[in-house]
Amino acid sequence: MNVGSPDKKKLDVLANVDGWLVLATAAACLCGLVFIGSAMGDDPRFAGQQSRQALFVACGFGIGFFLLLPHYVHVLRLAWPFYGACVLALLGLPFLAPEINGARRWYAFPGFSIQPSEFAKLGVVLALAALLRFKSRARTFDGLLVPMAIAAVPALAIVVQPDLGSALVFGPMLMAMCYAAGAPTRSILAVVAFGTGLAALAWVEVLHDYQKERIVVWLQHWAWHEGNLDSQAVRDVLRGPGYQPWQSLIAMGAGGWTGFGIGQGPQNRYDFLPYRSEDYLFAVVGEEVGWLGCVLVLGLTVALAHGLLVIAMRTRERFGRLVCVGVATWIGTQSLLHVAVCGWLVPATGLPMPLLSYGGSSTLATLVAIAICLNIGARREPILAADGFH
Amino acid sequence: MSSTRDRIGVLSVGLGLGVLLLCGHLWLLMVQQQPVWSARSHENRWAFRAVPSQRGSLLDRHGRPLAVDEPTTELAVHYVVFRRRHPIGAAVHGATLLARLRAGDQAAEYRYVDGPRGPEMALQDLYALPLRFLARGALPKQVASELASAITTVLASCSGRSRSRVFAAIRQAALARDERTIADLAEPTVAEVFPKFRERWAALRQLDAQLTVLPSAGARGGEEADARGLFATLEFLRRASLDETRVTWQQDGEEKVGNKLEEIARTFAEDVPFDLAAELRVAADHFQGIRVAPAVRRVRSVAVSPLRVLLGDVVALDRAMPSAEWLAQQLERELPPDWLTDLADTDEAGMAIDRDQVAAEARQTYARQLLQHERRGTTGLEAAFDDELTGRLGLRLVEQDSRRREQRQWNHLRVQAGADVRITLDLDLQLAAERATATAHERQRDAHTANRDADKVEAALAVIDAQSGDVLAYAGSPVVSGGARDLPGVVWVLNGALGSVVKPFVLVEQLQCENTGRPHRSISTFEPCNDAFRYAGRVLRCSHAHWNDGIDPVTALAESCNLFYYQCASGLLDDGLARALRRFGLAPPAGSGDPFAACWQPTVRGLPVAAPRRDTKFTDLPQRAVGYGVEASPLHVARAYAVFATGWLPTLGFRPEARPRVLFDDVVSETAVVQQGLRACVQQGTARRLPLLAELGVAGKTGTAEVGADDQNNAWFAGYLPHAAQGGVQLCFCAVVYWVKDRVHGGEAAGQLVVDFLSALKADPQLHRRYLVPEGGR
Repeated sequence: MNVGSPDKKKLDVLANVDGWLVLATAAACLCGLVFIGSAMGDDPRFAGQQSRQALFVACGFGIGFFLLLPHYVHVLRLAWPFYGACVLALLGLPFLAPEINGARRWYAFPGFSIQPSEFAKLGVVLALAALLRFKSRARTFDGLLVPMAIAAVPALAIVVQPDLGSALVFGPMLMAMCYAAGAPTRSILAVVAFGTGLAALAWVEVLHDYQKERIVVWLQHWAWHEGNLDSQAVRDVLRGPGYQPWQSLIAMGAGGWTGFGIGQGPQNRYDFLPYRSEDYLFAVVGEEVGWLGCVLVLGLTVALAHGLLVIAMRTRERFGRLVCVGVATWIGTQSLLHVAVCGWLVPATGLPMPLLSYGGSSTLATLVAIAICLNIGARREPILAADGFH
Repeated sequence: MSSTRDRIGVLSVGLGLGVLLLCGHLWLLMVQQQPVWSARSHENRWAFRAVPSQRGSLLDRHGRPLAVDEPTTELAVHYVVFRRRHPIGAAVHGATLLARLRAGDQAAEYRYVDGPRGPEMALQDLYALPLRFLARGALPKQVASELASAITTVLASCSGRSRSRVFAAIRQAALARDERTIADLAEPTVAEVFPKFRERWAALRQLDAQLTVLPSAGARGGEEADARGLFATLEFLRRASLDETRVTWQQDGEEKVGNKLEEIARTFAEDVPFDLAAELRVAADHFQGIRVAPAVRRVRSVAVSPLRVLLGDVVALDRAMPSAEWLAQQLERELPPDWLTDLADTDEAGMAIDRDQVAAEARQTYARQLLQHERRGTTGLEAAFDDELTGRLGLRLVEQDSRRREQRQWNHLRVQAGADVRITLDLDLQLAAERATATAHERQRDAHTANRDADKVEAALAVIDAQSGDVLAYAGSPVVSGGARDLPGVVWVLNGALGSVVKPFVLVEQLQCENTGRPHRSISTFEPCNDAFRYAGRVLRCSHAHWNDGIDPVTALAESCNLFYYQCASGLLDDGLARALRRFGLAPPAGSGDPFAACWQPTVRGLPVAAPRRDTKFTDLPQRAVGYGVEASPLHVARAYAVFATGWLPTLGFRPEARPRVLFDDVVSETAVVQQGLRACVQQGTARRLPLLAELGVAGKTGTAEVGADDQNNAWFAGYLPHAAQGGVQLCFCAVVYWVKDRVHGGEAAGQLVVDFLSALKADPQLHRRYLVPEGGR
């Protein structure tokens, strides 16, 4: 092959890829595989999850590799079509997706299913980055209305699935990207106020009874103590809406400094933890490797998000910078929310931990997003124009 | 304005702060509060499992079982499962929910009965429900969810389709929000579901019918005490489910509220035959919510009979409702303190366990399980020997998973079976005695013309070993209470006026007074019997004039001449008569210095019998010498007659063990005279018409006490065999038939009872050899 050929050039970019970020990603995926394996135990309900997750990770890395090769300007070009496809996919769920556990979140295909909401996060990040790459867009509150709408459309479509947890991630993503795009702080505060108003409205109009119940129970649980835990009212709650977060608290609390050892956590092993390979994976981490293990796993996530933010800081081109900010906020916020749910710092809601929890769509979407960020970091484009590639 | 880099730095710091906040929270939760959460983790998965003990058996003197534990099965309804998973329960529950949604019909109910408001109508009403009501938002979420679940259960169970498939079909159809009803569903069709539904309903009715005829079927007391059978229990629980009734109890003066009744499995049939239980087990998928559970039942060698009454009853502790003190004693006895201390020692995570908490929990669990699983004897021998018969409840400290499946055992308190208790009764002898008393009772009852008199007839027979005082048989008729909740009848417990069977005791006293010079009137001064004795202006009579036979002690005893004893009484006075009775344990000791204190029969565990007593208020002195005003049970009389058989007054007992006895060496010559009189009584005296007695060499005495206004009598016969048989056992017996007709005397009624009894012994080669042949024929 001739030096300087197009293929060689494409491969040259690999040399600039942030190796630490790849390592952190791989480590997070590996951790996920270990704890998914631990959560599976010999429970037939979880059978095959570890190997399937390994397959998803492998696919994610494979797709990621190929996404590194073309210049990310192609991603910019595809941002709006991808966003549109995601929105369409979300809007089609009520009509085309089968109902599973009372929700319509997945398109079922032979042998696998796709959860569009996970890809919608990437779609929103790309769309917002494409929109906000123009400096002028974010400077006024009016300029934020379109970004808000861009985030709100898929978020609302996800809320009605219902999947409140996934929808919650869009808020921080929007705000972080707007903020990084140069939106004034007061505009951000206005967005927060608007969001709070929406939340109040959602309480009345959108939230289901069980979602309200989770919030009420979460508020109640701060008043629980040894004296009233045995009361019938609390026991009823602990057997009902408070069961999952309470069992998660028990699992994490009992973990101590170093935990029970991988595969040895009794809450995990004896099936007290529900959805432990997905929404409560971090509780398994806490129970089995203790506080030190939790800090390590959280450290991986922080390293990942921080690495993405470092790329963002290093990238002078606005689209790429904003994509990295958006993906970092997505991964960081979702991870923190997942941990907070496991520790019942926030009301219980189903949210997987990026790269660690079992879930093909989540894993693939996250790995693709990271690959795009790695691509951005590997390019180190000069600023050609104030508004990036435009 | 800050640069983009600064802003990204702010975001980075925000992320870092978030992580720090979380790490801090996790540190508090996982490090600071670790012991608390660790304890909760233990509470979550550690459980105490009770292992019910086997109760000891009651055995007769030859080791044959009288009452033994036998494994059995019981049935319980777990209503919350029944109404969610059984099509009948789901239809009734769902239709009731639906009906109550209608305005003005809030009290509507469907029941587990045939006809209107029954399950079939419930299903019809569910079928009429428009599907749009099940769409999101049409009904309150919980109601819609329960309705959808109920309909899914009915359709899935009665069509063989999976729940998820049926549920998906319902939800899909509901989305159309049109006027179609459940009956319009493409699948499963009404034609498919209804026949199966009827089959399931018929199966429940058949089960109810089968259970209702079982003697043990029924509820467990309390407000539903009259409920029997499956449907009565279902109805009770259905109402409790609608009212959300919870279990309540008192603890430390406070009313505690527990789980909903529908969440607790409720036993409604015990001792379910194996065939039926096995059928239900195999067809468990068709009887969702109905549990077949292993249990233990007490099996007796006899049904309703005096022996059954003697054996007594065993009931579950929670029904016996023991006092708090008793429960505390049991816990003290059965839960060794060191076991509680060591309980957590084997725990690999023992550091985190609060041992006191585990021990306290173990105690609570033990008390609860004790009440739930253990049984207690409430009457009869079961109650008397309860401490020995009761085993120790086992307790295992185990690790369990979320579905309560046991994964690991940490520690255990070994279950101990109760000890077998061998009693002195001989089952064969007892059955023979029961047959004889039943026959005597029937015979004398039928002899009465008035029902009022017939109802008062009772017969009893006590058979003891004269040598040891072992109670060999103890029968009465009628059996007042088969359930043995109440004390057995008068025959068993209370005393009767003795009549002439008391005369031997008076004669011993008279003869001894003649020898020792204590106040008496010498027999040499007695006047011949002319059938009339004047005392305090009254004329006391004899059965007939015995003339000179009435002044010979042996003949007077054999002929039961009242005049002889009237004259004895005039010399012995009340002191002498009382002494005569105290000597034989037929009157309580007269203070601590009484030389006959040792003769008084102490209370015997398991022996339901009243102590003898004297009543001097309503009888004249001479009458007391012929048994009036002297009341005792046949058991005490038999014991007193043992003196004439052996020269010893034994102590009665139900356990084959050595017991103290009193040697009558100061009245050897006097008892010899009595023995002659008792033999003469059988050979040529008042019992001469019962030739079997003479044939067997029985020595005995008849007695007749007039107790009724129309001269109804208590008829007595007490006596003994002249020799010890196999194992040194010498039969001594006393029979009584209360309230026999006028002119029926001791010999005819009670003597015949003894003859019937001895005839049965004679006819049975084994019993013959065991009791009638000297030394068993060796």
